[in-house]
Amino acid sequence: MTPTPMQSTFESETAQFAQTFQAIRDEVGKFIVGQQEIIENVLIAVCCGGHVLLEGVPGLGKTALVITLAKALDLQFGRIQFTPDLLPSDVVGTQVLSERDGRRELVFQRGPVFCNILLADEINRATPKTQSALLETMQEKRVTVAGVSHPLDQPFFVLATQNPIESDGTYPLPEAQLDRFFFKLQVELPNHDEFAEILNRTGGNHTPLIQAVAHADDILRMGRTLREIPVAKEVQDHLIRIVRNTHPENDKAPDKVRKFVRHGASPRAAQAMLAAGRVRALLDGRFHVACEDVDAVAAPALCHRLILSFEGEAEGIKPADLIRSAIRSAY
Amino acid sequence: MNPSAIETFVHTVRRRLDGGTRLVVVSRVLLAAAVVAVAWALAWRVFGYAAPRQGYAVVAGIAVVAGGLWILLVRRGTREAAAVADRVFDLKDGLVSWLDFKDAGRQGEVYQLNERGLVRELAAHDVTELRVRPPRKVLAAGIVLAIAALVLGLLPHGAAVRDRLAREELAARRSAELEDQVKAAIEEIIKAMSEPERELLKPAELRAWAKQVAVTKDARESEKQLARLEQQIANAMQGLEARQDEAVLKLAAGELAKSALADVRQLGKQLEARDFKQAAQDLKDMKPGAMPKMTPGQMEQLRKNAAKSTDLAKRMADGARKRDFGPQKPGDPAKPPENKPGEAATQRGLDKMLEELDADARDLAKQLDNNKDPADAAGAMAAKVDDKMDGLGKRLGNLDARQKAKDKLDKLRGGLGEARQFAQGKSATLGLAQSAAQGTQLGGLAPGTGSDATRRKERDEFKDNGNLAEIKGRQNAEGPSSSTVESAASGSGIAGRANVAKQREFKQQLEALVHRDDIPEVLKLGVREYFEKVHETDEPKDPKK
Repeated sequence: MTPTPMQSTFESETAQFAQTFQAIRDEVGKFIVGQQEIIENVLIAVCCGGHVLLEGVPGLGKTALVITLAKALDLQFGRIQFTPDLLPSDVVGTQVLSERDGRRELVFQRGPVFCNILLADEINRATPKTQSALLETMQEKRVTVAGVSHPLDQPFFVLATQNPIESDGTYPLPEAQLDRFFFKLQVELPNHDEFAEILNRTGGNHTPLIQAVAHADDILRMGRTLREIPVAKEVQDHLIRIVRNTHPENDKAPDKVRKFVRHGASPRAAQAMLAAGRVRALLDGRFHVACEDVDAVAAPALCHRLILSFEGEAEGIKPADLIRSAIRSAY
Repeated sequence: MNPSAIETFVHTVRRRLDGGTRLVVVSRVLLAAAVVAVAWALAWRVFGYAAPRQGYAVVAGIAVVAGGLWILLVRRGTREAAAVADRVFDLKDGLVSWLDFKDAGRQGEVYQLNERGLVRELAAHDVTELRVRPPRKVLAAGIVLAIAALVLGLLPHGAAVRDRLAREELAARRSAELEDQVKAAIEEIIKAMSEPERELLKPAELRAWAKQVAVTKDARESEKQLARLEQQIANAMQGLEARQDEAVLKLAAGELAKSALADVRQLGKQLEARDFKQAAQDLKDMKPGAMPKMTPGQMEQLRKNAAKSTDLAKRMADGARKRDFGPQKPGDPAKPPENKPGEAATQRGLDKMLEELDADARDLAKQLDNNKDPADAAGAMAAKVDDKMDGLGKRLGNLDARQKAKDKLDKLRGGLGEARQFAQGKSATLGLAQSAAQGTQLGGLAPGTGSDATRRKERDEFKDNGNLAEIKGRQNAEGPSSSTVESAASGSGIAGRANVAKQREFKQQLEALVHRDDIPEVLKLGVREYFEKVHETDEPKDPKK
């Protein structure tokens, strides 16, 4: 919607938000077939300044999605292919001895994290040490090497991928690192028509050209805009109830949670849900967050933050089921 | 902006929801009340009664109060109405959010935009889209049951119940009339009683008797009340008995009739006629009349009266001595038997009183015959005789009061028989007060026939409505007697164990008979008196003698 002269500043900002969001989605959609929900959630996380963990079998376009997104947002793209022999310095950078003007000095060589969008491919293949090197960058958006902090460029997003089927030579992400991801999204296998479309788009000589429809400033501005959207106390209480219902020690938690969950979601999950809910409200043309906005973002925001108990893992309980129970109990 | 549009919308939704709630509450309350009313009516109808209307009123009242409270309690608040509207009109928590922002006083561009957007959205909706479904089934069931309760409530009492109620009403009316008449009769008796009679029959006690006859719907209870009253009258009459004194006085009268002195003979006649009041008056006139200082004329009068009093005292004492107290050991002074139950302790000692009077009168006569003129000594003895005669006069007065009181109670008791008939419905009218009033007056035209054949004048009290043969005999005369020896059963003459058991059984039957309240009191009294008279002539031997 194009802002009209009669609209107020904020109204025009919200109109701009929706417009930009749609433009980015459409642009990404040129290359990525289907996965609309994944694209939307990734964009929501990007708008909120959050990191996303994409999980899916190889070949579903996870990497392509990130690359396409980087192009559409005209952001500096970085990529790290995590392997077991990857060192932390390979991620964040290191100091190298350099000769300049006849003098030898240690110069910090920036690592691949120094970008706007970092694709951390197969993050679960790196060692925990290397994984933890990413922790600081994801949370604090800076790198400290030899006692010197180097801020990362803004915006900064980590879009990590992991392959759920390989278990040999992988290191499951620790809970602390998992909690730093805004969303965890399951990339599903495309359907038949999507398969056909994929082949049509990528099988020929002509590949869609992705143009930048937004820039870093746009993303930052979108982030500021969405934080203006108010949330009513009832909706906020509903959100809090959902998060608290994921804790087995809560007496109002559903029976499933009490039985199959060891630890529930943290307040960081509530922050993510609130921010994402605001985005959904804006996209719906509203200036208030609704309970359905919160419910819609609960699964991607919470499923990687629930630590199942032994019984839950033994019985193969899906976190999504537990989150649905938690939502029902919140009403 | 127009926040009132949003408020109006919410209030309209709230009113609509409250209306639906009211309908639900009314339906449920109506159903519950109808169920209770039907149950109430059926509970009465099962026993043949018409359901009392008060029950319906109570149920209706409780239903109204409960329904009103319920409606107040379930009234929805504004927030609740907003939440319902959000859900129904798919406003995505718009109204709830708006209310929250408004209550929190939040202001700013974004809130205004939110409000504007909400107004636009509300304009596209009609509140009437919010359907309030009436609880048709509940309402229908409630109405049907209410009609059924109404129909059941209009049904009258069953025939058996109507009859029973009519009987109860009749019993209540009769018992009310009995109550009034018994009270009136007793008041009449109290009014007619003299002071000596009041000392024997306390008015308060009589009135307490009257209170026993109260209004009741149970005819049987009414009969029991009369039986209890009758029992009390009988007990009171027994307490007024002075048979020993009367027996003594009768014997004394016989002796007095042999006197040469007319006054003394007159006294004897009065005693024979049981006119104790007049006898007491005559006795008073025959006192020696001692005075501190007497003139010769007074002394002469004293001598005359002394002669009379000596004569009458002697004769009365002789008569008293004739009374048979049973077998005595030779040399033992004649002892009167123990008082019968019910007889007053004051009856004890009339014999002794007469003996003392006789002794004192003789002493007085001796003193006067000795021709001594110690006026003081003679005067002292005369005064002593006066005192004794005063005592005897009081005794006679007491006997008169007892007799009159007994007569009054007897008349009242006679009226109770009629009352019993009335209570049983065998008599249509009751004249208890009149018959009691008549009984308080001395004399009368003629003895009444009454409804009970045993209460006839000059008849033996042991009659049982003519079932027993009447035995007539000549008083104080001798005649041939016939005696036959019946063959007796052989045996040692000592009752065996079986016979003792039989005797005990008969005794228990008789005791049970005495305590039954459907048997007229006069019959029970007759049985009692019979056995008392029988045992009087057959006193048990004193084992010490």
